[in-house]
Amino acid sequence: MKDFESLIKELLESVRTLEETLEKAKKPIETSSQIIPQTTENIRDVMQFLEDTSHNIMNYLEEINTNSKAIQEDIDFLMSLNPTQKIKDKLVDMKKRNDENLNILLQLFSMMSFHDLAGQQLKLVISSLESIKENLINVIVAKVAEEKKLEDKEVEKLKGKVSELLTQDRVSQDDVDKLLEEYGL
Amino acid sequence: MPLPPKDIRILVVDDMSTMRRIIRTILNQLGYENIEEAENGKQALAKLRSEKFDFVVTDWNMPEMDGLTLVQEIRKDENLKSLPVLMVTAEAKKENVLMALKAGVNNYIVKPFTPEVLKEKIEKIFK
Repeated sequence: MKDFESLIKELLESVRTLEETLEKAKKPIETSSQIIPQTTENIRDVMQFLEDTSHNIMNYLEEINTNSKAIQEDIDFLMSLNPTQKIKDKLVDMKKRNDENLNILLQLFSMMSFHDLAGQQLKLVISSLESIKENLINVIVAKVAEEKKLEDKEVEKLKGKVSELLTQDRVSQDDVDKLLEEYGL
Repeated sequence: MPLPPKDIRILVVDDMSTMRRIIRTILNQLGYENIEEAENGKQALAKLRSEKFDFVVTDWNMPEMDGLTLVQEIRKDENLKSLPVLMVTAEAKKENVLMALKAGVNNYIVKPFTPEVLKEKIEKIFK
């Protein structure tokens, strides 16, 4: 009789542990399955926006550059007409300022590399998120595998399923619950 | 006697389209007009093996094949081994510079850079 009682107690203890595991595992999967892919997607959007904007700015810079070069040619043409000294002085001054503008444009162009540098930092953030995701998968799988005493084959399957969830863009609660249900959680 | 800038054929290798455009524009302003582009080391190597170039400007971090591997491949290739290579990268650690030099780059520029620095390094290479 006593053996039967301890068996029931053991069974209840297992159910309680399982319930706790369910609560612990459900939350990180739920949260991470939404936050990690969403954040990665947002960062990719920012990178794309940065690239598009950089190209737009460079389009304008190129237009100013073309105009400045046209002004330079016009000044050279006017100079070739042997203008009076007063006009000549003005043209020289205009040429000097125009050259300065062309030089500033070139500096601005090289400063546009901020996009590349920002992009590289954002790529590092994405790679950190990927690594957090990987660690999270391992933690969740290890916990469930330990509680459910899963075989290696099942562990790999579970790993794949959790990874699938964390990789998808948007994961519904149904997907999460379905997975947990599959493993008796 | 060094070739005049307009006769020098340059290959710019960078996975970021904005960076390729920046380098191309600056090179244009410096008088270099014959410029081709590649998005990564693999694409660059294919171009280098099928067309004639006088000079390569490459980034380090790129997908498929990075700049360091590209330099190593160039130095291993009998037909390309003497091709001048300038690395333009955000990798600013001393060990990175040493690694690149060991791989065989002719010069090294850290991003962000100024047009003057690019001009100076190219002139140094062609001297």
